[in-house]
Amino acid sequence: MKTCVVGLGITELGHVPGKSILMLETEAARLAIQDAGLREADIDGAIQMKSDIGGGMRMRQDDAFPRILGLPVKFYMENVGRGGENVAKAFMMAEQLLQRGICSYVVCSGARDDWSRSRKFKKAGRRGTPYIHKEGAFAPMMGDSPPGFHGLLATRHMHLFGTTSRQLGQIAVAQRDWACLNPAAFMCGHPITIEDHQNSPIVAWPYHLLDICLQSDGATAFVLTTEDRAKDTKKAPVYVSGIGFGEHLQSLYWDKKHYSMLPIPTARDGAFRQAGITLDDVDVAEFYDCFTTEVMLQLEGYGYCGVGEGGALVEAPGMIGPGGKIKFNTGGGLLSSHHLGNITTVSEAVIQVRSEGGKRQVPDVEVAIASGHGGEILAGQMCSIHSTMVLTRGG
Amino acid sequence: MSNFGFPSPQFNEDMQPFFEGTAQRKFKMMRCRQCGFWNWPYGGCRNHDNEAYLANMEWSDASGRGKVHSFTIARVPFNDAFPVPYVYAIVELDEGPIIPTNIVGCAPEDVRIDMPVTVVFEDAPNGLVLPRFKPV
Repeated sequence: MKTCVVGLGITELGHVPGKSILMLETEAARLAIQDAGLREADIDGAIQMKSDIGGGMRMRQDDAFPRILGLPVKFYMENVGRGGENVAKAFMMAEQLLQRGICSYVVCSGARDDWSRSRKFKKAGRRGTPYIHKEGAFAPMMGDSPPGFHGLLATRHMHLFGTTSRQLGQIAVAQRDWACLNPAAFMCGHPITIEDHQNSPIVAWPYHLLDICLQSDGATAFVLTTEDRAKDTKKAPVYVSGIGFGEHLQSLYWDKKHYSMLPIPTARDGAFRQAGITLDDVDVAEFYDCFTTEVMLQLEGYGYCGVGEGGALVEAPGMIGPGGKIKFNTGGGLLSSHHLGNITTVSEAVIQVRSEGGKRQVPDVEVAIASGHGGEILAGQMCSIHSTMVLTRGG
Repeated sequence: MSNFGFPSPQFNEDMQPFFEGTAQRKFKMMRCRQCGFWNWPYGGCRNHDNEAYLANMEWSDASGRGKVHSFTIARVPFNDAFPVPYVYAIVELDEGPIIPTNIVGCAPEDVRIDMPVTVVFEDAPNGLVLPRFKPV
């Protein structure tokens, strides 16, 4: 019996000052339960979709959103995941709870307060969202920063394949065009051109400001249940048809591939096999897009083009963006909508499968994929995880 | 809550021999006594199964040479312990492993992928001696 998403709850996104992570998680859970047509008393399992990375309120904690909302759960798990792949791990855990009959309805909720935190530090003359230095982490002593270590992928791709900053910029422009069709996107109403991308300041060469994702406040929650129970909920179910994972631990340093590819193949193959699909069946792809190069590596890794051909693909007329052949990051993604890790990619996939996308809706979406990425160990990209989820309209 | 300033990650006993090495201006890597396989940081041999607690691996003097595998140039400061510009890089060591580091001793815009580099040791504000790399 398959597992289905039957509820989706999304709070205000972007700048949401004055709300704690816990209160945002609580509100998203409340909205998701309402969206499913369920009562809070129906929920008997809860999972917090959060990683330890980042420190502060992102660390493990004693309090929990099910306590605040008063959910009578018999199972609560906090902090699943290593980085931006936690929805895939949360759904896998939820599926176990449901399929083993431990729980009937599981709510997974996750929040971030990155925008508010970064503002506090900017007022103090600092930048970014500082995080607790992990025990034994070597690279922070070398001044690694997210744009600094994610940019290694861009420099390497440029070196190997002649990829240009302008080509990466095409991804930023295409996603901004999608965001302009999504009223909930932070950058809706602010279209950009390739010249805007090229003229934006260089943060960590080769990355311009417009190669870099947003920092957001907000929360999103999902309610999951089994296929049979899903018949009684308010909206048509979205089937969780495939979940797959890949790790750079599969190859470590000796293959020297980390900086020109993501560990997509096993994640893709596992998820696609479970769902019984091929790439041709995918109507929309929601790629984890912390930076522009990750998107290019996924266009290559999922097989929309060959390795090293991403640059040519994104600048070919009619290929990407709202009018393009390949429909990806249809809500604007982390680059132009909001950054809740892969909660952003999965929520947009659910919206598309439900045909709730309004102006940005892709017609007749039967199959959506949503990816996740992150969880650096020791140094950026030294060991990163990739997750693939396949969400479908039918079982 | 704020953690700005130069990082002071707590290294456990697995990494102590490495920093004891850098304090003496020596670049050490782990080497397999059985087959000569090199690893960095602490880690086992991938050519065959390992002995208890990686007893087959030994911290050994290494060349400290390599080439730039990839790099970025920080232009916007995110932490004032690291004045910009500076080069954050991954160096592929001659023995095979990669190391996150900085390229020093040349202008950031002169750094190239595959450029040969050699280790230099610099005293860090956290009391450790860190390996950075400069062009050969």
